[in-house]
Amino acid sequence: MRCCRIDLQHKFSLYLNSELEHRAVKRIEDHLLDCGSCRTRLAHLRNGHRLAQELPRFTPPRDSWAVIEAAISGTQPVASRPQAAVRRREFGLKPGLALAVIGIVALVGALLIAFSKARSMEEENTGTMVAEALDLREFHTVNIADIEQNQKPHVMAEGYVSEVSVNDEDGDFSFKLVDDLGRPGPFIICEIIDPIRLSPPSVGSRVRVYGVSRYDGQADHNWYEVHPVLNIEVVHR
Amino acid sequence: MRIQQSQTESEERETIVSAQGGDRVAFKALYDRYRDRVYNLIFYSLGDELGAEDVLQIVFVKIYRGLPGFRFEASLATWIYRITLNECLNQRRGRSAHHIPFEALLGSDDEMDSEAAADQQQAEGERREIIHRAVMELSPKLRAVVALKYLEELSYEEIASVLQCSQGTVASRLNRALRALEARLRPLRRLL
Repeated sequence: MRCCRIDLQHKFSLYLNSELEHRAVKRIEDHLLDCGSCRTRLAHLRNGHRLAQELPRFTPPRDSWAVIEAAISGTQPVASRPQAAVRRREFGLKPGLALAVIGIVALVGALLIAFSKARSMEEENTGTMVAEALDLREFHTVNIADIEQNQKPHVMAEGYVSEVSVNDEDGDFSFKLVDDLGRPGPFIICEIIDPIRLSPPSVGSRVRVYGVSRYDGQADHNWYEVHPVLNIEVVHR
Repeated sequence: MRIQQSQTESEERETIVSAQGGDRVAFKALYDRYRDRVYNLIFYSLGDELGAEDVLQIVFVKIYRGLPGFRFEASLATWIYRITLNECLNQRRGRSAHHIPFEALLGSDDEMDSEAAADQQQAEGERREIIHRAVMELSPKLRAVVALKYLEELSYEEIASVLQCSQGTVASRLNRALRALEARLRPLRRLL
């Protein structure tokens, strides 16, 4: 006969993991003396618990530090809040220096433009460093038309870039890879995302794209993707 | 023991503060400390060894970027596991799972090698592989709870904090996971 003491059954895994206080343990053990159904239930859970304790641990096949370091090289940690607060207070102490402030704002503007240019060059370097850290021979070559049959996670696809677009929300670039620029046919959408900010290839160029193969099955689009793109080799512009 | 634990915590805090300031060596120390744990959590959550390596890289870049905002309100491990599982969720949304069916792994009777079964080490490896595969058949939510409990050995309270749910939900998921695991492997009890 099935037992209705759901309140106690609910705590069986806690009981097996010795995470119950003494009173709760006693309540369960008193109940088990009288209830064969719960004894069977607990025995099954104990078997599952014993098996779960033998779950194997794995180690990554390669050390990813080189790729991670390359990716974060273009990233500076954000200044901590207390420092920002101190700066704001200092600014508030000198309200009369309007001309100096205008000068500083102009200088900061100029620095921001220079930083933005330097940052884009840095991002290109990051892409190169990531490519150097990857073993491109490990990528499985797929034809654009055959991507549907692909089962390998890491792929290389070659084709022409028919269009490049920018995501309005996050600024990520994506481009469409096709076999033939003149005719509609099978395609792969290639997405360039953080942390590997590669420069998008130009429309009309022929490229080899290395990355992770996936199927994007959202309501508004159903297509195969290389996402994220890990490396781009330009065959000809 | 207690003093040793407190020393470790204090050392970790110093490392975190240095890493928050952009110290790459300190961040590498955190990477070394958490790499395998994060990898296992990704692996069990996604069920894809090669994909796990890519996600591991993304997770550590996110940790690096988010570290300046870490305020020591939870333990670093809890915070890292939360980032990891959120990223796994993002990855699952965009990919269809490819895994070998459990039945395919067991093979047919004809394929069983009696000599190999006699080899203790191989038998142990096969046993773990069967258990691993059975866990991979669980839903991602149940797998995450099993990995946090049985690999990371977190308490119910800590798991609830990582998953941002109640301890009751953790208990319920773990009950379901263990029952499913036992039911899945019951026919093989004599072998295991």
